[in-house]
Amino acid sequence: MYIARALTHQSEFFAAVDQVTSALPSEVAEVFTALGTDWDGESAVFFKVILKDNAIPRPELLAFTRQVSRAIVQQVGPLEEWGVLPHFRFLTQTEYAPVKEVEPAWA
Amino acid sequence: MPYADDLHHVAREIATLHPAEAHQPSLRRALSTAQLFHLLISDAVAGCGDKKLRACLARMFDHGPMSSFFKQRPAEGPEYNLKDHLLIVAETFSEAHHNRNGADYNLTREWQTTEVSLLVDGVEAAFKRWAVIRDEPISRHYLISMLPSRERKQPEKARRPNLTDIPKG
Repeated sequence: MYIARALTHQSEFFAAVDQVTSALPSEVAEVFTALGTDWDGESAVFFKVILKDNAIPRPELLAFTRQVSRAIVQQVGPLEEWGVLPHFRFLTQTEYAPVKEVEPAWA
Repeated sequence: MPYADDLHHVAREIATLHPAEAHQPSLRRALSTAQLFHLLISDAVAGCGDKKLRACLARMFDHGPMSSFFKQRPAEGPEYNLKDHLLIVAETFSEAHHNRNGADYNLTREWQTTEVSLLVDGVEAAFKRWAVIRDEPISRHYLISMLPSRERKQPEKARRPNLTDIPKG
């Protein structure tokens, strides 16, 4: 059985993630990171990225989210360096509020 | 790719049915419908002349291998742009597949309007990127990677360690 390095060295992994996420553009309010397994049974890391409301015009939002996910993937190397497939979720602060209320932390 | 295009239009319509509220059934159906799978499969089997055989062939393809097609980021070089397009298609495919499962089966998750709209936008952008690169050899290779094969899933290189291995030294 293969165990991803991110799972066996979690504190190092989260430190590497924190280092990158702390340098993201100011439009990013917060990033939550969780390790787990995706629907294919692959070891995965889940990034929940909270964006400041109205910080990015709607037509530019897709490109911005891609820029953020690329920065994290290129600098952390979740798959290449740590053996976990990255999955991203982008929410505005307003949209995150109800999510925070009703979703369990592991959802 | 009329069927894939039709599906995407439906996804967009469903996603915007209730713009003022996070209407979970609509948002979940939109995510379930906004997929790249049918677009890519129809290209993969396009060379088969028999319509019935094409449908049978299409059923053999598998989401799993495609999700981890790129183990490494493309290196700088003459084919960088092409590989970058393909990487984004592969990433979007993987995300759309992941989100579809979440939308269909994870009822603890609350989907949000902008979030879903962005995911549908992402699939649409991937459709456009695929149109640019679909005839390239690397794209054909990618399509073939969707065929299930145990050999491809366990490439011959450094063997993964397992729990019964005896540590050296």
